[in-house]
Amino acid sequence: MATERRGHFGNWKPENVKPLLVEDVLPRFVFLVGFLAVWQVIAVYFSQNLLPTPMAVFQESISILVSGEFFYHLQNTVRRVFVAFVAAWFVSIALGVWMGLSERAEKFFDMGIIIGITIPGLATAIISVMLFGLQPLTAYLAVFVAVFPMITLNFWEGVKDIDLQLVEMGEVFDFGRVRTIRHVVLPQLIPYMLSAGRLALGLAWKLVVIVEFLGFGNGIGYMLTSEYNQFNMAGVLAWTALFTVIMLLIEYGGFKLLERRYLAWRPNIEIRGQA
Amino acid sequence: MSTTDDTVIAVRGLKKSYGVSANRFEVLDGLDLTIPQGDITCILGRSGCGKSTLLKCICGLEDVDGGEIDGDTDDLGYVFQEDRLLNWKTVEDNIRIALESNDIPSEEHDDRIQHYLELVGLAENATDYPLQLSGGMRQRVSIARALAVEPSILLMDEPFSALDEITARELREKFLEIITELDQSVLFVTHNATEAAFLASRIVVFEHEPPAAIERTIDNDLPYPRDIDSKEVQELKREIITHI
Ligand SMILES: Nc1ncnc2c1ncn2[C@@H]1O[C@H](COP(=O)(O)OP(=O)(O)OP(=O)(O)O)[C@@H](O)[C@H]1O
Ligand SMILES: [Mg+2]
Repeated sequence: MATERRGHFGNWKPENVKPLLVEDVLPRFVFLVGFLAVWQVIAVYFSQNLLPTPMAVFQESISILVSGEFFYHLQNTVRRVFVAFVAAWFVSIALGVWMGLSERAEKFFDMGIIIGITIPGLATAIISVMLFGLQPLTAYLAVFVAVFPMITLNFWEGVKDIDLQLVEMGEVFDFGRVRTIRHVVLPQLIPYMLSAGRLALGLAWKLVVIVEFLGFGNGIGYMLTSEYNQFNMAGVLAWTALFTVIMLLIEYGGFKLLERRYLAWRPNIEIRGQA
Repeated sequence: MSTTDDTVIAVRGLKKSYGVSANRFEVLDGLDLTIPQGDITCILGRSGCGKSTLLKCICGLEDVDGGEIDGDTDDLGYVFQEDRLLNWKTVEDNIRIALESNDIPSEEHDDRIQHYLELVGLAENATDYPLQLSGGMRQRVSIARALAVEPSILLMDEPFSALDEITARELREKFLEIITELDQSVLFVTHNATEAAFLASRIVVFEHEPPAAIERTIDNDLPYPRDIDSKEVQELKREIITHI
């Protein structure tokens, strides 16, 4: 029996997970170069000078960065995103878990969740501004309302997917409530927490920009409006690009690292095509 | 009432039904069963006759409707049909969490983990994660986990039936070797007559239809170690089959 073959994963081991390597970076790099090349071609040959070149946008971005404006507005936007995001994330965990565990709660809330997902973000933003005017709460509320149904749905599904056989195993081995939640239930929810986090952050930022567009005196959305009013396409693109870079940093620096840390026990699933 | 020295678990007049009123379905209706210390008792019966229900009542996963279960039912090990390992924990940590939950002093953990992994032939794999192992290896970890708490009785619900025939056969032999060495009391559920003839010191055959009642008890005095292909085991298997 000792000669039994190891699983399908060879010497795969979480602690051996390789650091970022050529095969991780290269495809993404190629994508970026290709994207910029297509942009360049369109800008120069097909846009009658409406679309600025990547270089022009890059220069505009540098001047925004140098002027210090970027960080002032970024800070305001990030605060709005962050407050609403954290609030939505925690409320969603509580509500999602509740709905997953109690049939009555599920029946009571599920229609609200579906309605919440259906309402366009723009509507939430406009209604909040009309109701509460231009105060900080307005932005938080608009984003919160738009984001939290989506991630509640996510947690709700996560809880329903919990493997009850493992919970039963914990009961047989006298794990007790605390150990069962900590070591059996939570690890099964982590993938859902990560995907809910991603989803929420993406949604929240889009919403904040809309709210800022509707009349706040600062933030990325406000600057987009003001560049738009001057019909400065390079400016609009530069602000968008700068913020996108920040979001990419959060994705690759934050979520991808969390994934490596918490989901390392999952072998990578690769779908291979036929040769 | 308490159990005598040489009885691990004594079940008397056990009643269990599922559902309510019109849909009420009696699975156990006054079942008596004693499990002697050091015996490997096999419960054999057709699908749906109430074997798993009996195990669940003994380990407290299901509340009983009547009767008594005497014995040290807090102190048991369980092997399921599936391995039921925590995939996010290494092999050793899967065992460790069972030891912690059973209040085994932490200075004993490493020795026990090592010892029982050696018994099932997985000492090398202590720091692997379950998904790196084959199905047979995972089930061995699950057996090591149940043995490591050094239970007064080991409950097993068709632990080999999800494995392929060759792996199951190897694992059965290995398992029997370990159990006879440890003099571990076992209550083993199966619907495989050969498995029962090979492993059991006592075979309890349930009636076809619920409520479960004992059709017949067959003592199996063949000396250990046994050979699953031997004439005696095969003969016994044939005899068992006539009662199922
Ligand atoms: N939670 C439950 N609710 C209602 N009925 C149940 C439940 N669990 C089991 N039963 C019924 O009780 C009967 C006995 O089930 P049990 O799981 O004990 O059978 P078994 O002998 O282990 O069968 P198998 O060999 O297929 O595992 C079955 O008819 C089943 O339908
Ligand atoms: Mg069963």
